[in-house]
Amino acid sequence: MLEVSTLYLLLAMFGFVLLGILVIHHHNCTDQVCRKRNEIRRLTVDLSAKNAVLEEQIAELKTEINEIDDQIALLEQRQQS
Amino acid sequence: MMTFSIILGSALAFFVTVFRALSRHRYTTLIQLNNERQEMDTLHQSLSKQKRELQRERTNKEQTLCSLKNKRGDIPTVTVDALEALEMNENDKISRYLLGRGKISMEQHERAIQKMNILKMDYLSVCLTLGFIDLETSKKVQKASKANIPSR
Repeated sequence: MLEVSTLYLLLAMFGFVLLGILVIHHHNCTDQVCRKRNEIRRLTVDLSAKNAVLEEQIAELKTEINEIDDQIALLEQRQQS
Repeated sequence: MMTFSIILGSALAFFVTVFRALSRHRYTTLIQLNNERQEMDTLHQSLSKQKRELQRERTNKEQTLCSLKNKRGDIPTVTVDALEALEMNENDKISRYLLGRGKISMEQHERAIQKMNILKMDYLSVCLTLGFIDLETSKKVQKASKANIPSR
């Protein structure tokens, strides 16, 4: 049977091992989350720029369609009269 | 021995609790970030789709407008079948066909006529070069005009 002091020494060593595992796990988790967050940030900036351009183009297209509608209505009125 | 067991048990419990808390935090954060990404993707896709639909609508309306303008009598149009009955050169046939189908507008037609002498190309090539029609339309027109040749 081991002495009590040896047992406590083993217990302390085991505690350090557990603490080390926790530190490594925390580091891994933080790193993974950080990488994902950066990826999303880049994507958000990229897509925001694209969306702004798309919204502008959509507004232009709507204006053009309205103008064409007006011209069509005018022509149809002239044909009827 | 009792104290030893209590300390060991407490250490293990602490380890498991902290480990699980860290894992849960990572899991929830990743899910949240993925949701943000999906939202952005969905918004982008919906805007792209809306743009495509509006472009299609604009093209249809431009064709309708061209047809209406042609019906007004600005330029007499004939169908492809009627073209073979008429004695006219190939360029006239093609221009009338394109105008009749609303593939090009009057302004584009006039520009193409002007550029024909400068570029020394036929009407269809000029329209294609200036980007008034796409390659597919050009092939269709060529096919239609070829179909007319044997029946002359």
